[in-house]
Amino acid sequence: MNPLLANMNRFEIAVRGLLLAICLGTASARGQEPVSVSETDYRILISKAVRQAAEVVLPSIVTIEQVGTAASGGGEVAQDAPTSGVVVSSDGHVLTSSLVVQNPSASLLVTLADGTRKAARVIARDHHRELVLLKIESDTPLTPVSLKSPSIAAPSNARIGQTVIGVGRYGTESSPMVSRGVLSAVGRLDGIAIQTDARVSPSLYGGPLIDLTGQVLGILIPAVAEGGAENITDWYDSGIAFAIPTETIAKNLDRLIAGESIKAGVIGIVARTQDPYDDGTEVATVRVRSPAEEAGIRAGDVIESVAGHSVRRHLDIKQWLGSFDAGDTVAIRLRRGDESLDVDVKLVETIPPLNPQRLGLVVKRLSVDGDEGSQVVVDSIVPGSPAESKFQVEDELTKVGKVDVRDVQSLRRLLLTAQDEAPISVGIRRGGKDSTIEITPVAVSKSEPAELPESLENTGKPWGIEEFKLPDAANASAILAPKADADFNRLGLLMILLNPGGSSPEKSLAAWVEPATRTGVVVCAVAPTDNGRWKPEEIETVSRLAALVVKQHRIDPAAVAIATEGGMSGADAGPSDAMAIAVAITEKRTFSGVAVSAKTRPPAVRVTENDPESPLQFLITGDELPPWSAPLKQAGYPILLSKEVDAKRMLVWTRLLQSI
Amino acid sequence: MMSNRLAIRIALTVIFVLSLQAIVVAQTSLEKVSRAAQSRVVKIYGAGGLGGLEAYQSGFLVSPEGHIATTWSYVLDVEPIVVLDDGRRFESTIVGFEPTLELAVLKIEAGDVPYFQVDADTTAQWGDFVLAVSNLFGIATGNEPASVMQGTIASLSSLSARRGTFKTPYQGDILVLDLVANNPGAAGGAVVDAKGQLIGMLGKELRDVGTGVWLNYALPANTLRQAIGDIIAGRKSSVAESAAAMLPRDQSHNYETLGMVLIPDVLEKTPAYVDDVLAGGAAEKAELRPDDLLLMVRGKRVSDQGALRELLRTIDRRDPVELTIQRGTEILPVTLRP
Repeated sequence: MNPLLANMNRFEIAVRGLLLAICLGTASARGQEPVSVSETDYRILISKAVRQAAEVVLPSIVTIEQVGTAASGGGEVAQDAPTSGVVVSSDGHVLTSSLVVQNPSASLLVTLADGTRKAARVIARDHHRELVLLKIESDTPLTPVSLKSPSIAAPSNARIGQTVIGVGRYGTESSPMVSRGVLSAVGRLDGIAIQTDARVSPSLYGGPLIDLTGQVLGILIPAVAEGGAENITDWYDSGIAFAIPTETIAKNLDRLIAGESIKAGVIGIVARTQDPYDDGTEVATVRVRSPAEEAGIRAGDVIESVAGHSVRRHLDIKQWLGSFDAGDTVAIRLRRGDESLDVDVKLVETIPPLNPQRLGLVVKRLSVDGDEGSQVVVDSIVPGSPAESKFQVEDELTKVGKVDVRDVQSLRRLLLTAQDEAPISVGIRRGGKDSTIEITPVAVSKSEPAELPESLENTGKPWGIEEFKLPDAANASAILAPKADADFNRLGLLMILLNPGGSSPEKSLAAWVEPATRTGVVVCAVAPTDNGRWKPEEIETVSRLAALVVKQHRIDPAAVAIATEGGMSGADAGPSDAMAIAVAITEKRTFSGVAVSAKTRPPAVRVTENDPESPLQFLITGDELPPWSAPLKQAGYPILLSKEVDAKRMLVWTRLLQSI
Repeated sequence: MMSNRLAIRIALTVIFVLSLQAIVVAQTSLEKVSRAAQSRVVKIYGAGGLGGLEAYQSGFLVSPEGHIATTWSYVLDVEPIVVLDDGRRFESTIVGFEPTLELAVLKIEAGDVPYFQVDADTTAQWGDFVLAVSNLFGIATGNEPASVMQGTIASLSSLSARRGTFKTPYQGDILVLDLVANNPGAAGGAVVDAKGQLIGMLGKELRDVGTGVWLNYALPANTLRQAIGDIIAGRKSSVAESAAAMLPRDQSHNYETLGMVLIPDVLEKTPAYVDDVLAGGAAEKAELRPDDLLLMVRGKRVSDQGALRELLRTIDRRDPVELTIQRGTEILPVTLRP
């Protein structure tokens, strides 16, 4: 080691010790004279240190204003809020947050540190990290920040609790603005961001987060954690703020300067576990034409490590993959049977959307001594389905293609991700003999089941209606269900959202008694608390109510749907139709189907890709598909259009959501 | 080779340490500073309490004779009660207002009270440590002292804010605070530096015009100094007078005698916005315009149209009416001559 550097490091250690001593009030540090400082003076010194650090980067910090913005979207923060940016090249590249391009604007004005105003153009976006690279023309070279800070993004290097400062410019005079805090965490937002408790207001977005020596640790971005809030700016000033670490910025800057936009990478594996938090990393299936398929990953493989990090749950896989972009190659180690395999997977931007397939089987797991065994057998066959002439009740399913069948869930995910109407071979055991059935599944979007298999029909006494409420929710709700001790299996559940100001849940359910009892679908009607509208916070209430019903009755979690009275022919679309879509899309883990009117005015929810781990399908009542269904189809949601939907038909559809 | 960065870091650290070593073991502590500031901050109780409007705010003593600086607001629509740090309660009189700063000065009959020196020169810089002392959320009841919060000055800037959809009249310098300070009841509170020197007064709850988010800010002491001095010395015209006698309706002023129409009075407190100006009337001659907001009549605050009608009842219709109005962000004097 260079002796000078070694000395310096020792010196630094001594200085740090001294600073620690100061914080404690009085103490001696490494043989120095005891230094005592009052709290007051300590504060004054910290203030000076903050200013000195900020002065290092201030010449590179600019203000960015949007001119003539087409304001849209919600949130408290103004759509055209002035914000900060950082000069990253002497010839005029400015990095800032995606806030400035959230809406199209007539012009982006950059005010430099010396007050000069320049119009900027957008060079490239990092969609994965809420960053945008702008370019301004300048006759004189600008002062860029240094992006050579040592990595703090890795947990081993992160000094959690170290003082950090968010720096930006504010107001009409572009005055310096600072907010001091500590480094709260690294590896946030699936590994892309570091976190600070500094109060980051919209003016500071796009500005740097620095340490007490003026080194740039990252660029502040508007972001909320997954499911945290509706708008990315909703956590402003909250003490939870995120920055993209400098090393990532340094790595990607040349690509952005070259005009290449960056997007998150997708791999295309589907988990076998019900929940990403469950233990186990087995792959249920891989998506068609995905990087995983390309790399030779197969259903049944167990993932052992991602980019050198060993993984135990699918959540770990998601988090380690989270920091990779489309185009990046990730080393994955997997176990297949007894062998260990290393594959390199090159991630892509998008994979073809899901087009779920169906054979027309209702299956069950055979129980062995009271526990669920690994044998999956045919329980019923849907009339008119591809399976009708090929399978028999009690057939044991052993293989799909080359994959062993061991549970219903993986089987379902295999069909959800299968190629559109491509023949598959299913291995079965019938009467002790093995054989293979060649069968062509049909797309879910083309196969609305009209009839229940006879074995699923119920001819017993009509079910009763009673009030059924969450203890902590004010919504009026009632349920139509069999007695708790009744011997039913794999029932369906249909949640009916009532329109504001309509009839009571009990009254609404009266018409459902006969068809619901017949088709074996529990029906639960919910009214909004407000007489005029459904409120966004009621999305969660409806979902929790459904989860409670699933728990209390013998309902197949894959046969839970949400609908409205408008979803039936002859009824009008109301506010509850939009709410039903919002609930289904937001709470995809609870609902597998949503039935609404074609005349529904769609809600303002962000549509994510249909995910084979929490699939959802639409049943739309009307003469033709509404325009808002096109993006849903593109996102991989099967959409069934039906001119005539009555209660019975909707209930059959609900019950058979569980069929594969 | 030592990198530049390391060199800078060490240089900075050295500066830091040297400046530390130059300090004599200091006597002041934050506890003393906080206590001193608390003893100069008062709680003010007045009008409000309806429709989400708090009937309290904060203020601070600026003279040993019991002058108190605070925010001009609806709380002062009645003569407020002032509670000192030691729990003593006083009825106060309103000495005067400075509408452009939304500043008011009250007076209580107390002698030899601790007070803040309001300096013309303050050295406040962005990044500086501050303490904000106020009765935010009315937490401090009875004889409890006000709450002390710490933070820093985030930025020195000028105010560009709105209340509801209207821009505020004051557009001057402010201290933007890195501290969630401007909460209900905090307006009028004191902001002091690490040595206890008054550097500002907490303002009302406002939203930033540009970003739309809530602002945390204070009006700098040097801006307040002149106005406080003028009000105490009686050099301000906007002095609260004792209630003038009501005149009979056919002898006093009303909207018609002044030739103006106000927006329909449909709210509990409808602001006195001019809706229309009648041709040939006093309002037209004085170039009053639709959307002008009437702030004061003869130095008295017009809190709403009800108050305006009452004030006009006290003025003989043969006399001119001196108004203070807000047009856009400007504050203007206007005299209507019948």
